[in-house]
Amino acid sequence: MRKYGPCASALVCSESGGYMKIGSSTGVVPDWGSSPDPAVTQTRTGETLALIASRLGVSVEDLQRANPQIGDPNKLTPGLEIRIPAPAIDDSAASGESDGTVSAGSKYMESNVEASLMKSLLSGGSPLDVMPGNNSAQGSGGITQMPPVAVPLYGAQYSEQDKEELSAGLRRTYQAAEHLGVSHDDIVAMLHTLAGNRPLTSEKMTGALHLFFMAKDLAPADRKLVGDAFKASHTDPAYVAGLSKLVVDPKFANASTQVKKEWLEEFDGLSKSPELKGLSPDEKSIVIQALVSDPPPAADKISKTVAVLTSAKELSPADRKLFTDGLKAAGGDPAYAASLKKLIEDPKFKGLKPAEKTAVLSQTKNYADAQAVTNIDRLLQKNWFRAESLDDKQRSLKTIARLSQYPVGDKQVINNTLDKLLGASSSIKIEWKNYPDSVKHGTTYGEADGNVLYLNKGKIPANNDKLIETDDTNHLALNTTVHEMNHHINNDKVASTFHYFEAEYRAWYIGFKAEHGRAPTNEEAMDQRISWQLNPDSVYGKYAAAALKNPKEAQKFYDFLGSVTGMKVDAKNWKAVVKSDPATWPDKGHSPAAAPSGNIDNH
Amino acid sequence: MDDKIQQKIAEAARAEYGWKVEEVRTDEVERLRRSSCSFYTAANAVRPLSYQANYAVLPGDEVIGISDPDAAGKILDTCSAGARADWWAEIITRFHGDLSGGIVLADEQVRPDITRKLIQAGMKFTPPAFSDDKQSVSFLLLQPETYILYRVQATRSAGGPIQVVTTKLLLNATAAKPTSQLSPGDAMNSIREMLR
Repeated sequence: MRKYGPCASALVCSESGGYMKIGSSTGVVPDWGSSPDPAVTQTRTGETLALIASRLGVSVEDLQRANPQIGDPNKLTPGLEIRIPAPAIDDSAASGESDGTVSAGSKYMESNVEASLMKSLLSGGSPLDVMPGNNSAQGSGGITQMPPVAVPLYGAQYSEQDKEELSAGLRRTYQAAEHLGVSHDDIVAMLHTLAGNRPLTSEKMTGALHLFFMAKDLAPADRKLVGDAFKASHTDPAYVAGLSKLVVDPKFANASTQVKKEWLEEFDGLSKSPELKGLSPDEKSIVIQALVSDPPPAADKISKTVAVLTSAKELSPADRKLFTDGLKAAGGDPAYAASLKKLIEDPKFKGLKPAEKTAVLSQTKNYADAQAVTNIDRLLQKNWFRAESLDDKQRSLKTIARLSQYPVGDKQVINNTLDKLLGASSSIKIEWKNYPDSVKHGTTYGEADGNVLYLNKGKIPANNDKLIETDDTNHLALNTTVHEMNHHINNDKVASTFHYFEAEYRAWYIGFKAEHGRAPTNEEAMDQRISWQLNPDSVYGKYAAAALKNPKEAQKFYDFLGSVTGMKVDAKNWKAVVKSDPATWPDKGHSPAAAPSGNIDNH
Repeated sequence: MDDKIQQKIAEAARAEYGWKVEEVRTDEVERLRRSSCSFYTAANAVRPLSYQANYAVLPGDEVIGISDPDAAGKILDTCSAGARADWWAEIITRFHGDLSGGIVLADEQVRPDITRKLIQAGMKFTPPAFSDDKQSVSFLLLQPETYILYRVQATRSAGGPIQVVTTKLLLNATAAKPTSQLSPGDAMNSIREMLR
């Protein structure tokens, strides 16, 4: 590896020991085209001709030819005017004239070249390998790979490894930022700030990228506010994460620039509150997330969150970690924090065995959602739940939490179902049942019988993990629970009637809504349910077949099939209609299926 | 149906599923009948259930269901002489613990909707078929509760258990699609991935 002196690398010494500038035209944030004459630039403190060449994207030789007045290329007076020769590296920027100087009006060139330099550096190999260690780089080959990033030295000396790690980190950050569509100015500002924030860890890079990505759709003036806030406290990952949360909040996004400024100042001040002293990094992160929830930031959010954290003091260390992990995952949501505090202070929770407490807190962490925690708390009130084995408690917890937190489903149907099951007056209980086919692709998910909702034990693993989302677990948690509760609510009984056929269709219809968040189309209804319910191989089909022997009942089936397909259905054609291609139906099967009669939302 | 057989099946269903004997409804699956074996479904005549149990009655009136881990193997050993691939597929579907139900697509007309969807997906319908060495049978199986189509390959080594391999062919993905814009969490995950 090449060895460099303290002033001979990407890190260029300044006489003052403050910032050195690498490639940028002004201080920390480059000011593209700031030169008063686009054909001329001025030397800056600490710059050599080689550095100017790199900044401009031209070779040292060309620069020397265009500026014969320069004596020693390594000793330049700050403010010296330098004529800019046309660059040879970028066709798009090469608007220079044939006499070797850049034409007037090509301010864009400098930024374009500089961007090109940065891109070249950051997407290529180690810049330190091509640095002009003794300012003797020739042509545009090596020196063009210098990063346009200002690096504060703080008077310290850095090892080659430091420099390489910094360059590599900046390069990766640049590539990611570009991929994320962060604006060029923001990228440069971010890199300049990060360059002075050594060691440049993945956490810092991730936090910065996340912030600038979240802010990228703000107006330029607002982005500058965010960039300034980042610059002010970028060394604190919790603060940066808080900023990210704040800038993505719709209230922040829709606020005026003045209000944004006030909120950012308020956040900055409150995030340094004495109440945060003595908190662990995780706890501090939680408090800061809470601080920026539902802006504007306010002091009481800090005190409330600290109170929630304090409430967990009695938990075991492992449970306390689950508790704080949940709060972190909830991103400071005050409703989640309040629900969690209420849960762990509940006597029913305190009465659980240690392993059961862990099971509960595992799911409040896995499903860091206020409604999930509230429903877990309601679960704790149920005698049947507290009487379950640990294994079955784990199954019940994750099933209820998954259904509570499921974002896609029909919320009204899901909430009604959970109210019916977990409400104070509910007499329904879950019982995890061993079925002979409790493995793999078995078709048994559950059943309703009287006040018992039987669920297939083999479908839901008993552990403290989040429910692994498979076809089976999703179907049981999101669909079967709702489907079977609908049978219970409607007091459905098996019979050889259209009424029973419709009861099964209704239960399927509501299960579909819970799982998919919408009513099925007519085609989906026919393909996924009706044809099965009329198939004599199915348990339903046997009853339907018997009902169809009764002309009065049969007519109800024909009318129903007619409503689904839009076709005229009778005894002669109904089987063909069931197998017909929806493309031949009047509405092609695309319309939402008509809602069946009975209770269709589990209210 | 023989009352004695019906009673034995009802007893088996009570033991396996906890049903009351008097609530068990039993139906013969006549198309599966072989000279020495008959096949039945048992359902609860009171509870609105989506599933039914399958039982085979082997020579000597031995009733066998899915609780027997080698039910499919015993049935094939005893009753499969000269049987076609679709019959094998039905037995494996009903009596192998990894499957225990579903609709065997014996021909294109069993479920025309599936045939259409296979074509739309650039695949084609294939009926149940034995491998050249007759050691395995391959078929399409629709799980009606989830509306997922599988290709099943069941292989029987001499004297060994039946190995079932399922491959998901069609998933009727009807769940709402995520928004095209990255959520904060998605963005963070993407960033971590990029920096990895």
